[in-house]
Amino acid sequence: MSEVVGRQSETVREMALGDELSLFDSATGRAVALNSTARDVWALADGQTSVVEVIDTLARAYGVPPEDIADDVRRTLDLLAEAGVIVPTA
Amino acid sequence: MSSLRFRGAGARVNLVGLDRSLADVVDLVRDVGHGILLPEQSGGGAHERAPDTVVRIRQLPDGVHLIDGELLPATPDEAAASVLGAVDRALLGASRCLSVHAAVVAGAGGAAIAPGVSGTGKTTLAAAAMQHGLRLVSDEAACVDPHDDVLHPYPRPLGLSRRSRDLLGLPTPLSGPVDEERATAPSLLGRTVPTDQLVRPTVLVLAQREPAPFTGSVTEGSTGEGLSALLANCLNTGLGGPWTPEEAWARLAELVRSLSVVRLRYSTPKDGAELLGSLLG
Repeated sequence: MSEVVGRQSETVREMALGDELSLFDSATGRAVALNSTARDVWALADGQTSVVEVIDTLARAYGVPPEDIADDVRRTLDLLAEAGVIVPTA
Repeated sequence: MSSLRFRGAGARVNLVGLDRSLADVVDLVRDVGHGILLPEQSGGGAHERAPDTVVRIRQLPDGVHLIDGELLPATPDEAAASVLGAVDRALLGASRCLSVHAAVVAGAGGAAIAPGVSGTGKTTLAAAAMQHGLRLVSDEAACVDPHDDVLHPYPRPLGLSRRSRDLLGLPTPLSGPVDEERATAPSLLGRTVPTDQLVRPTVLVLAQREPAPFTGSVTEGSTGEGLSALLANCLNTGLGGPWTPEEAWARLAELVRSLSVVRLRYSTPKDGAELLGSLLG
C-alpha cells in the first residue's frame, strides 16, 4: 500500500498573504510561511490521499512529468511535518 | 528628592526617589538617556498625563539604594546602567503596543523594521544607519500600535560592545554607564525620532550578515517569512503578556500587508546602513 500523506493539524489556522500562505500553530505559537507550491501541497494534506496521488495531482495541474516534482513534493511534506503543521494519520 | 520622567514605546514612566547622593547617577542617566527623557516638569498642570508606571529607588538606613527590589550598584556607572535597565523594562512592560525585538530606523521615505534576536547585530546596524543620516526609532523594539499601522518610537540608549564601537569608529568613552555593553547616547551617532511622533513603517528587512569580501545585496523577500520573523521576535506575547500569540499573528499580518519585504545581505554595518539608506530614500 502506498504511503499516505499526513493531515492538517487541528491547531493550525491559515491566512492568505497574496500568493503565499501563513500558517499559525496555536500549539507552538509559531507561524510557518508557505510559497505557492507548498500551499498546493498543504491543500492536499488530508490524511487520506497517498503521496503518489498528491504528486500525480500536482504534476497534472502544473503540466509537468511527476518525476520532475516528486522530490520537491516529498521534501515539502517532510518540512510541513517537521514544523508540526501536518500530523500523521491515526 | 527629585524624579525623572521618561517616554518611549507609547508609555510613560516616572523614576522617583533620586536623592542627592545619586546626583552623579542622575547626570549619567541624563547624558545617555535623553532620547527617552522628558523635559523637567513645568508646574505639573492637570493636563499632564499620569505615568503608566513608577519606578522607585529606595534608600535603606545603611545608605545603600534599592531599585525594583535589587541592590543599586555603588559605582555611578554601574548604577546608571541598572537605572536605565529598570526604566527599559518598565517602559516596555507598561506599553500597550505589540513589541517586536527589532532595529527600526527612519528616512524620508518611511521606516524600516529589521527584526532579530539579541546578538545578531541589530544595534550596530541601527547605529551605522544613524551615522549614515537615518534617524533612530529604536535599536530594541518595533512598538506596533494596537490599532493603526504605525510605530511608537523607543530611542533608548544603544548598548554597544567594544567591537561594535570599533566598527563604528567611536572613541572609547571616558565615562558613562557600563554594563556588559556600554550604553551610548544616540546623539553621539546622529538623530532620533521624537517619542511623541508616530512613525509609519514601509519596509520589513530580513537582515543577514555575510562574511567579507561580500559587500551587500537587497532582494525581494517573502511576506510570509516576514510575518514569521516578526512573530518569532515578539517581546510581549504569551504568559503574562498583553497579547496572545494568535492575536499577535493576526495583528502582524495586517501590518506586514502594508510593507514591502526585502532580504538584505551585508558584510559590514556600513554596507548594511548604505543599503538601508537606499531603501528609505
